[in-house]
Amino acid sequence: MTVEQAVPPKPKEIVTKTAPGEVYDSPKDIEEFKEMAKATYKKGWRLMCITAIDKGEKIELIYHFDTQKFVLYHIRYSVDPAVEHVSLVEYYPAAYLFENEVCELMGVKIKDIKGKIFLSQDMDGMHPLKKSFKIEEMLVKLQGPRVEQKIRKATKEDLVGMAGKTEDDLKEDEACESDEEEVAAKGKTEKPKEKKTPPKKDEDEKDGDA
Amino acid sequence: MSLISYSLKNLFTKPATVEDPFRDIPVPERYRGVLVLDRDKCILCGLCSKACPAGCLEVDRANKVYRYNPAKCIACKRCQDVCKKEAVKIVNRVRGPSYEIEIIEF
Amino acid sequence: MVRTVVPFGPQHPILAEPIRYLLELEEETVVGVDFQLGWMHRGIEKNSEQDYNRALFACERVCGICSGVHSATYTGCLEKAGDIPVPDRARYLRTILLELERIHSHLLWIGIAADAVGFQNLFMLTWREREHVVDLMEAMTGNRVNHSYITPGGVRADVDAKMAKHALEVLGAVEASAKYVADQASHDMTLINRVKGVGTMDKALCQRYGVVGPNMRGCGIKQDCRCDGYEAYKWLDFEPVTYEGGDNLSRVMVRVLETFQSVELIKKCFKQIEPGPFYEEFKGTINGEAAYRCEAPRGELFYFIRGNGTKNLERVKIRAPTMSNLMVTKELLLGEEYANLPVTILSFDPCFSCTER
Repeated sequence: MTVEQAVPPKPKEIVTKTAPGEVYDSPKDIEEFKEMAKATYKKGWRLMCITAIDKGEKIELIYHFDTQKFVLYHIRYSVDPAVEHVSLVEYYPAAYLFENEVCELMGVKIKDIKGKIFLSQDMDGMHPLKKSFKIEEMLVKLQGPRVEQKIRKATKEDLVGMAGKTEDDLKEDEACESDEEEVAAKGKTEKPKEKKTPPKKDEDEKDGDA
Repeated sequence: MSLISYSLKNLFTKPATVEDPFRDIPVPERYRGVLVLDRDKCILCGLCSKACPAGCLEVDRANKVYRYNPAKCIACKRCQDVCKKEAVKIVNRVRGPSYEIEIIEF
Repeated sequence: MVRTVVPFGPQHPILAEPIRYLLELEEETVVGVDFQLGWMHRGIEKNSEQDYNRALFACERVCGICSGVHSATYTGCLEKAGDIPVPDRARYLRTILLELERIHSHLLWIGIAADAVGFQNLFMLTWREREHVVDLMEAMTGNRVNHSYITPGGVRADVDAKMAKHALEVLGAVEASAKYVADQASHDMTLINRVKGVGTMDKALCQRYGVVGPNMRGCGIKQDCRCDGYEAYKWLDFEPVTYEGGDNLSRVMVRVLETFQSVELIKKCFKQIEPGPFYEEFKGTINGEAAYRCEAPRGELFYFIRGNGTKNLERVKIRAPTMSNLMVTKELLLGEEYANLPVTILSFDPCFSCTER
């Protein structure tokens, strides 16, 4: 589908689920990519953003353009991190900041871009957005191990605001005890689905307080 | 209107500030402040702990322990949405300052 | 001629957030510009690669002033990728919150800009009206900033008739205050002489650098992301606000006129809203990718989300409006007098905590 075929109707009749419409394009090699970028520059479209996604051996770059006709146009291109990629700064001067971010946080090499804007100097060589980077290791290396926190029992001031008990509450307490076994069974089946969240939650718990 | 007439009008209007220690600042009903647990209703299922985005709740079923870290809490009210027994509530009490971070055990 | 390099440092009385400009001056005229970022980077994109319900709260806290529109864009992108239905009443309530946030952000900016010029009284007057708007948001959602009101599937609480009546009273007072500001900006000679003819940007420069938001509309280009038709904007009839000129004064006037337009939009929403459900529960997984954009008070906010078929998200990409607006200052500030610099930088309404999330 081309951009001209994908133009949706005027604003008042747009259905929110599909507006703005999107068109994706994938060039096969770098010459085709340069041709596509030059074509968008000639048509007067605006570069909105450059996204980088980590796919293991290759890094997928997506360039997002705004056609000013309620349609977004995306160019998808996979890049090898060891090979130098072409820069779009001559056509779009605003791409300087986007490419610097992609270089620094994901480790892509782009011509004439140094990539030193966001991170501090003691993180040279680290590419945080890659899947192999662990936040907890970096924090322990830069700041030292975590400190234990003090635990105390709840007092009366902590329970201010809770509603008083009525007869309905007491009846619900009896119902609670029979529910416990059902919920225990449910808890066991819930665990396999959410296997990924506990390790992330541990990072969150140790994170934050410094 | 000119600045002179605006200044004269401003002399006779009430000040916009509230003198805090002597008058109470009105707190709306929906304000999200602190977590409060009804220990008799809670069955220690752990759903609130999995739903918390900040990781401030620790629920231990075997030892019957429920711990809450008020310094990490962002008062998003997700624990109250997820709890089926209505044991966990967020009340509109304003959190005051303190000297050290303490974990509360309900 | 002697040249000096002056740091417009990370700490400056007019800057709300830190940025470092290195200015090369030749006796009060700027000859070279360079900037450095990096003081506000918190790694929110990396933190969002978790359960999509919990990532919403991380993405909301990218910025304090425009946190509602971040959560609205994230939710819209998720709903587009996962085909989640939303009831109509929820769309109107989200629009009311977004427009209230636009009013509070523009009033805040007008106050800071007036303070930078030297008109401190205007700063205090606009912030007094802003307090009433923020109290209104607190009564509606539960918090002054970082509302946590918008969620995939609808909104979290309802608005009753008493709140609506109170809201319309407060908006009347806001409109009167905005009229006073518009009056001062068009008749007060000291204010006009400081902002008129300074920092002029023509249409070609604007389009070459891809500037977005009220800065683009201050040059006469008629473009607004709200005309895409997201949330309830497709049922409200309005045109984007433009002003000719391209200098600091036109950017001030665009924001003042947008405040009036927002008050009108909220009044229309309260008339057209109908009773019904405000939340439809969604318990599923996100599979696929989507791109979405919303009109933040500072420009166009762009999100790109990709899910891999489980509850966890694979990639969340946030592009804030100031990231597109920042490169223009490298060319715009050349040839300016040093005393005009703070107002010119501030007239782009920069939000660096959004830029380096």
